[in-house]
Amino acid sequence: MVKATQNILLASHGTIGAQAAEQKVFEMCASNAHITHLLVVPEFWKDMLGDDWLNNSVTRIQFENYLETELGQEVDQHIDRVHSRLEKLGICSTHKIVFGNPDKCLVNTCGLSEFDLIVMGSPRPKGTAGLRSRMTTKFTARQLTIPLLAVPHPNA
Amino acid sequence: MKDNGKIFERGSALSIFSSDRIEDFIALILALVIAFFVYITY
Amino acid sequence: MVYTKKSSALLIIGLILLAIWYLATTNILSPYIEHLGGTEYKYLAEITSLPLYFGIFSIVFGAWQWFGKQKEGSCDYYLSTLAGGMFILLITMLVRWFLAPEIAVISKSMGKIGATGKYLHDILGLNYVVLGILVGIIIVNFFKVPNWAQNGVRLSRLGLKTGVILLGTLYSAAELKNLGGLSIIMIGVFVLGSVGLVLWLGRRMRIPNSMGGVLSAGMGVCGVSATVAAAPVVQAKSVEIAYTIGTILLWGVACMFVFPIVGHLLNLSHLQFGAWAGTGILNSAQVAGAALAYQPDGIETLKVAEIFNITRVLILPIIVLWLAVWYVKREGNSSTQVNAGKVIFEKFPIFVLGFILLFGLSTTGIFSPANHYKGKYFGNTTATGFNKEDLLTLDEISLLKSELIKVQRQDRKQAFQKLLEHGKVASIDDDDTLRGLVNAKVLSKPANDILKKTHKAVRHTAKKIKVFRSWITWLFAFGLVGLGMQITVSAMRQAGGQPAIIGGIVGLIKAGFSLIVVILLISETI
Repeated sequence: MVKATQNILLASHGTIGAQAAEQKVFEMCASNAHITHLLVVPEFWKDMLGDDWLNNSVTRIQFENYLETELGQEVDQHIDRVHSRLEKLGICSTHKIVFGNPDKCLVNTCGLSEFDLIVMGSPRPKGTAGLRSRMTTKFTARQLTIPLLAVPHPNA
Repeated sequence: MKDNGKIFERGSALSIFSSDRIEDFIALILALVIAFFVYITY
Repeated sequence: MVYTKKSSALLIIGLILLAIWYLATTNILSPYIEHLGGTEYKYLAEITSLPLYFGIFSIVFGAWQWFGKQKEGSCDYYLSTLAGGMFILLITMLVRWFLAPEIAVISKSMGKIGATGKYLHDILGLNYVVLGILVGIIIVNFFKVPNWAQNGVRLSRLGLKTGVILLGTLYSAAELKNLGGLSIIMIGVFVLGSVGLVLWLGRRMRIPNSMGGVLSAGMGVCGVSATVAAAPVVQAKSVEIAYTIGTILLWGVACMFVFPIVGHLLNLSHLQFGAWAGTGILNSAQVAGAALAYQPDGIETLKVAEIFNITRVLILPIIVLWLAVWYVKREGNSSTQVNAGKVIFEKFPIFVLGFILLFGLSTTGIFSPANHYKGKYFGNTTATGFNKEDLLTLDEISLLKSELIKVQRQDRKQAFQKLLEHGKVASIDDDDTLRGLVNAKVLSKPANDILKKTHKAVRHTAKKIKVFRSWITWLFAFGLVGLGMQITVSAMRQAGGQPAIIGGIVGLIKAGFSLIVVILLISETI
């Protein structure tokens, strides 16, 4: 199986579960593999102003800019981390950042290129804190035409 | 990294006015218009 | 970019409104109105007039949006908001005229609930405001706001602000002074208390300073708005922002339903409930929602709650400034410089000045006759409003006499005895005292009804004031339904982590303590 999996899509936004998936990719991929690192910025961020009605736009724009920079920094850090690990292993990789509904983004990305395997983390066990935006949903399971490897959560 | 969810080029995500100073001002004008309307008709 | 969407939506909204108007004026709707309460149905005057005006308006602009040619520019931009604006208004109307009365009919058919002596919909506060917000939340989460309405939904804040400004016309100087003083004390104590509590709990739970900062602003001042204002200042991480805003939105929506229930069960007066909601509810949009939920047709509760809200808005820049200083001190290495003047100026909400302006205008007496507040109708001649039929009947006097022993407070006892003597309320002070007695609900319901009648006999609300009231409730309802369309479940689901725990503890303590303070310290009228 390992030899055939040349073109791997790694879906990870840096949570503990996703880091386990990254680790698995580092271990299993062939030296001539190509990794596409997909990072989804969940769409709920655009609703984060909620029903605020008191602030003036200066404050809101400040908040939006701040949030964009902050998210951007976190994304960059994470991409760099994965990329440098892969570089050390001598594996080529590209990354793709999209904004939207995580599971739909995953399905869309799959259609863009001929991937052999998708690797991602499992949903975190109950009681563990984290943001709620999942990729492993019934929707993904039904729509995917490529084998999916869900790496067990380290705390499971 | 830019928010692709933006639909509006004008105003903000939450208001049709570019600045809330303007929104506040329009609200005041509206309130005065309503007050004037009520003042002359009732 | 041309903003007007080529859509028949606005035209259809217009046709629906005209249909409602036609069916109502030609009495085809009568059986349905009869079902909704017949003579008790309050909105007949509205549904035979409003849908006509708005219907014609929507059809004209709807036809233009669908068939006309729009060019890029301000005209297109602003007119394109009409579809969304009318969408919110249509929902508000349908809920106010049909859905809420229908639910009331169903709830009444189930009978009164146990010992409370109230119907289910009264206890749950399921009136048109709450239902409207709920419908807004349902639309955005299950159906998505349609494309043609997106631009107009952004009008909701304008409606809310106009409502707040207009509300300025309804206060007397004494009311504003008393309520202002009360709100400054209550808000001051509870804001400082909850900010302090969050920071203390935060230290115990070893959360980062940035999380403590953003959470304390959200819990202390005005919820989402304060979080938005404070997040850049204390350099909160994205996860911390998501946790905090999710927690506050969830709490806010929950409070909007729970507060009116508790208020009804404890029989709080309008003033007490307004003060409690104004202090205890974390998110400011839901303060107005809960106040209107508690008392949808009168406006006393909203008047109290909004003063508290305005006080919170005015405190917000100060808290942001304080957090900025606190954060810079704690983190030390932060490069941000705190410029007090700039922070205060940038965060100052201008619409509060509008509120003050309209209040100033109304104190000149142009909106209501000067004697509206002075009580012209206490006179004893027909010219001063005396009307023989308004006097108490012998039956009523004997009923009231039998309940005299229930009245404990000395001032109330005196006013009550004077009422029995004269058969009518003799002075404005007596009127205030007796209204307090009604709100305290110590007498039986028939006795209270008689007292309410005597109040009506001497005190007439000026026509202009009545019209203002209905404008204000419509504006608030419009704004709140629109805001409901901006609360998404995916944002609320982000509630979690330590902010959810700390938020839960602090939110409960704040709601509980403010309730106790309100019950102990605030009497029924101001």
